[in-house]
Amino acid sequence: MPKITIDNLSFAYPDTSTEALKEIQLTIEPGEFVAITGATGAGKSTLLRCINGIIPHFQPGTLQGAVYLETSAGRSAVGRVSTPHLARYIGSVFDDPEGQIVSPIVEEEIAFALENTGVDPTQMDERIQHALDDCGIAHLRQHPTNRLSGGQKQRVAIAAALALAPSILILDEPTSELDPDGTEAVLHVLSELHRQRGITVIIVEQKINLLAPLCDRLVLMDQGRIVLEGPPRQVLRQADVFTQLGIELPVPARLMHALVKEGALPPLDSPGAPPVPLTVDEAYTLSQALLTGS
Amino acid sequence: MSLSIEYIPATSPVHKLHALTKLAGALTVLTLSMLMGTPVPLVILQLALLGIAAVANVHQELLGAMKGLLKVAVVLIVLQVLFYSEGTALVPLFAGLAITDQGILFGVTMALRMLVIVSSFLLFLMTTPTRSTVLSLVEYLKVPYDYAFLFITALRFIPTFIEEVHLIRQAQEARAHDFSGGAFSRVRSLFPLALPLVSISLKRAERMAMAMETRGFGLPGRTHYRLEAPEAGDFLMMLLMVLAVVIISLFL
Amino acid sequence: MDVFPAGHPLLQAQQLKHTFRTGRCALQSVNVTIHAGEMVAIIGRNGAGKTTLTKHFNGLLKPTAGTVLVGGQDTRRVSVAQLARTVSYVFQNPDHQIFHGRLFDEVAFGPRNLGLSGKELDQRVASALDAVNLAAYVDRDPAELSRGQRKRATIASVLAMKTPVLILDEPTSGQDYQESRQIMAILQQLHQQGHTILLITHDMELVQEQAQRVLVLGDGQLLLDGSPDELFRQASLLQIAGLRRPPIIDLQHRLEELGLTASVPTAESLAAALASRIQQGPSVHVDPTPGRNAACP
Ligand SMILES: Nc1ncnc2c1ncn2[C@@H]1O[C@H](COP(=O)(O)OP(=O)(O)OP(=O)(O)O)[C@@H](O)[C@H]1O
Ligand SMILES: Nc1ncnc2c1ncn2[C@@H]1O[C@H](COP(=O)(O)OP(=O)(O)OP(=O)(O)O)[C@@H](O)[C@H]1O
Ligand SMILES: [Mg+2]
Ligand SMILES: [Mg+2]
Repeated sequence: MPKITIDNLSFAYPDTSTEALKEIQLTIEPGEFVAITGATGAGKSTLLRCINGIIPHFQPGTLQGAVYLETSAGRSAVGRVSTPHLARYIGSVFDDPEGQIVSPIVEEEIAFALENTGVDPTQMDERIQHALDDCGIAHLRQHPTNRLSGGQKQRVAIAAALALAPSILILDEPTSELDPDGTEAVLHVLSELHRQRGITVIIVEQKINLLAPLCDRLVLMDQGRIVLEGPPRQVLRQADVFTQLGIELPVPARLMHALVKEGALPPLDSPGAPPVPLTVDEAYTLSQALLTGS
Repeated sequence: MSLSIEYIPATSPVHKLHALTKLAGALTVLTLSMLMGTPVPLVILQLALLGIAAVANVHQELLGAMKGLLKVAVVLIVLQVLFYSEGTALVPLFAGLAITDQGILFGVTMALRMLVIVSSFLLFLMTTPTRSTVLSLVEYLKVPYDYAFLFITALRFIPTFIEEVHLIRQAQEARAHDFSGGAFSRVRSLFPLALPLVSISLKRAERMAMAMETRGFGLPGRTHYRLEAPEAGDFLMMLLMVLAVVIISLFL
Repeated sequence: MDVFPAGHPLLQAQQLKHTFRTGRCALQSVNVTIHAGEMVAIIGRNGAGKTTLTKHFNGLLKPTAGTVLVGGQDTRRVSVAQLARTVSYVFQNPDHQIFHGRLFDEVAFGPRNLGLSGKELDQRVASALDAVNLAAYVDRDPAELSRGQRKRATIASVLAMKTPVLILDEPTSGQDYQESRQIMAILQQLHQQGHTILLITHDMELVQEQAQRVLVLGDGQLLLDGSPDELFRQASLLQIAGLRRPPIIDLQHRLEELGLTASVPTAESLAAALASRIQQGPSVHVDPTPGRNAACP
C-alpha cells in the first residue's frame, strides 16, 4: 500500500499565464479516504492527473515539484514510472467517463484492466459480476458501450475501476451524472472497499453532504491552492471559508452554525461545543438533546 | 441516412472471426482488386463483399457508405474520361481532348477499384473492435504497441473523422444551422472546421491510448478473459484467401 | 413570447414510443403536454429515458410510433434546424456540442444562424458568457477549459439564442454550488420573461426549490406529472424512481417529530424555530421518551 506525497507541486498548462496548481503540499497515508472539493476550475482534476501520471506522461505543461509513491520497496516519483506500471497501484475514473471507455461491450470493458494486469481468467467472471452488481448495471453486461445513457456510461467507468481493486482509487466527480440512488450506492461501495480492504480513496466531488460522513479528510481547493484541509468535523466548522469560496455547507452543519447564531449553542471553538453533525440523523439527535436540555 | 461508421456489435460469423483474419481479408481484397483490370470481376468482388456484409448484418451501413462513395466514384470517372487519351475517340472535346472508349473503361475500373477497397476496409472496421485489432497486432504480429496504435489511428482516421462530422452536424442543426442547400452547403459549413476536425480526431486517438495505458495496457504477462486466438475457421479462411490470390493471378 | 402566448400547448408528446436500433424500447407510450411559460423538471433513474424524451422535442430523435408536436407542428415534417429556432438544447455531454476552437465562435454560432451580426451579436455573446462567468475565457479554446467550465460554455451558447423554449440536459452536473445557483437564477429570470424551460436533473434540492412541475420517468414511462411537494410526499414512488428527498426536507420531516415546524424549510428557519422553542423552556415540549438524552453525543 503506497503512501502518496505531493511535494511543493505546481503545474501550468501550455500557453497559459496562470498556474492551474500552486505549491500543493499534501501527504495521503495508505488507506486514507480523502474527499477534494472546490469551485469549477479550482484545479481539482489537474491535481488528480498529477497523481495518476496523466501529467506529465500525456499532458504537456510546466511541472514543478513532484508526486511520490512510497512503498516498503522504496520511493518513486510518478513522473518517472510509466503509466501502465502505475496502473498496478492506481485505478482512475476520469471526469469524462465516455472518453475512458475502450471496449465495445460492457463486460469486456470491465475485463480489460484485469487482463492487462494479469489476473487469472478463472477469477474474472466473478470479479466482473461483482463490480457490475456494485454499480447496479448487472443487466447491462452484454450491452454495447456506445449505446448507453450518460449515467450508465459513468457507472461502467466506475465498475471498471472497482473490479481492479487497486491499492489507490482516484475518482474525478464519479457521480456527477448518477441518479440519487446510484450515487448513494457507489459512495457506499467505495466506503466499504476502503473499510474492508484498506484501499486509499481520493475522490473529487461536489456532493460533500454525502461524503462528509464517509471521508477521513476533506480538502478544499481554490484557484490552484489548498485552502483548507482536515477531518470533516473540523473543516466544517469554518463556515466562513465555505461561504467565501462559494461551496455549499451541508445542511446538518448549516443547522449547527445557525443554532450558534441564535445563541442556542456556544461558539464552535469554545471548549464545551458539541462536534459538528455530519448527517441528518446526527442533526436530529443534536436538536433533540437541546430540546430536552442536556 | 446516417454515415456513421463505427464498430457495430453483433454476433455474426463474420464478427466471430479473428481480427487478423479480417485484416488479412481486407488486404486480400486490396491485392485482388489490383490484379483485376476490368470492371466485371470487380463488380463480382463488390457483390461478394455485400454478401459478407449481409451475413454480418451490416449491409445497411455498407450500402449507406457506398452511396456516399458513389459521388467520389463519379468524380473519378469524369476525370479519367476527360484526360485519358488512348483508344478510339468517341466524342471529340476541346483542346485536342476526347472521350475515348478506353478512357471510359479505365475510369470505371478505377472507380470500382476504389469502391471495392474502401468497402472491404469499412467492412473490417464495422465488424472488428479497435481494441481487438490493436491486441492482435501486439500479441500475434509482435508489433510494438506504439506502432500498433499508429497503424490503427491511420486506419480508423476516416471513420473517426466521419463520426466527428456526424456529431458536429447534430450540434450545428440543434443550433439552427440550415443545411437545406444540399450536399454543397453541408461541405461548406464543415470547411472552416477542417483543421479543428483533424485535431479533434487525433486527440480522440490519443485519449484512447491514454485510457488504455492508465489501465495497464502494455504490461507484460497479459491474460485473456475470452481468448481471442485464431481458430480452425480462421486458418481455413486464410488458406482460402491465399488460394484465391494464387488462382486469380494465374487466370488474369 | 408573442408567438406562443402563456398557457398555449407548446410541446406535445402523444403516445410517444421510441425503440432504438438495438431493439431497446426507451420510451413506451408517453403522453405529456408542456405549455408556453412553464418551467418543468424531468427526473428519474439513469437510463429511464429522460434524454431520449427531450431529444424528441428538438427533433434530433423522431418517434418510432406516436407523434411529437412542437408549436403544433409534427417534428417529422420539420427540419432540426427549423425547430432550433423555437427550441434550443444543451447536450448532456458538453463534448458532443462544442466544435469551435475559440469560445467566442462557439457561443456566436447559434445567434449567427438566427441572423444576428455586428454589435448585437457581440453583445449577446458577451452577456451570455458573463452570465456563466466565462467572460475572461472568450478567446480561449474551449477544449482547454475544465469540464465544469465546458458545460457552462454550452449553456452560454444556448442562452445567447434566446429561443422561446430552452431544454437543458443536466445543466448543473459538475458545477459547484455557487455556479449551479447562478445558472438556476438565470433560468428563473428567463422563465419570468416568458421562456419555457425544461431541465433534466438529478439534484433534488434544485427540484424542490425551483420547479413548479416535475415529470418523473421510470423505464420509459411517465410515473408522475405533478408538483415537487406531491413528489416528495410519495415515499414509494421515490423508491421506485431511485430518488431521495433533499436533506433539508429530510431534516424538516425529522424535526417535525420533535414538534418543530418552519413554513419555508431552511437550516436557518429550523434553527430559529428550535431556538425559540428552547427559550420557552423544555417543559413546553412533550417528549415521548424524555430519558433518551443519554444517547446523545
Ligand atoms: N488542457 C488544458 N489546457 C489549458 N488550460 C486548462 C486545461 N485543462 C484545464 N485548464 C485550466 O486549468 C484550470 C484548472 O482546471 P481543472 O480541470 O483542474 O479544474 P477543476 O477544479 O477540475 O474544475 P471542474 O470542477 O470544472 O472539473 C482551469 O482554469 C482550466 O481552465
Ligand atoms: N443509441 C442508443 N441505442 C440503443 N439504446 C440506447 C441508445 N441510447 C440510449 N439507449 C438506452 O435507452 C435507455 C434510455 O436512455 P436515455 O439516454 O434516454 O436515459 P436517461 O434517462 O437520459 O439516463 P441518464 O440519467 O443516465 O442520462 C437506456 O436504457 C439506454 O441504455
Ligand atoms: Mg474537474
Ligand atoms: Mg441522459
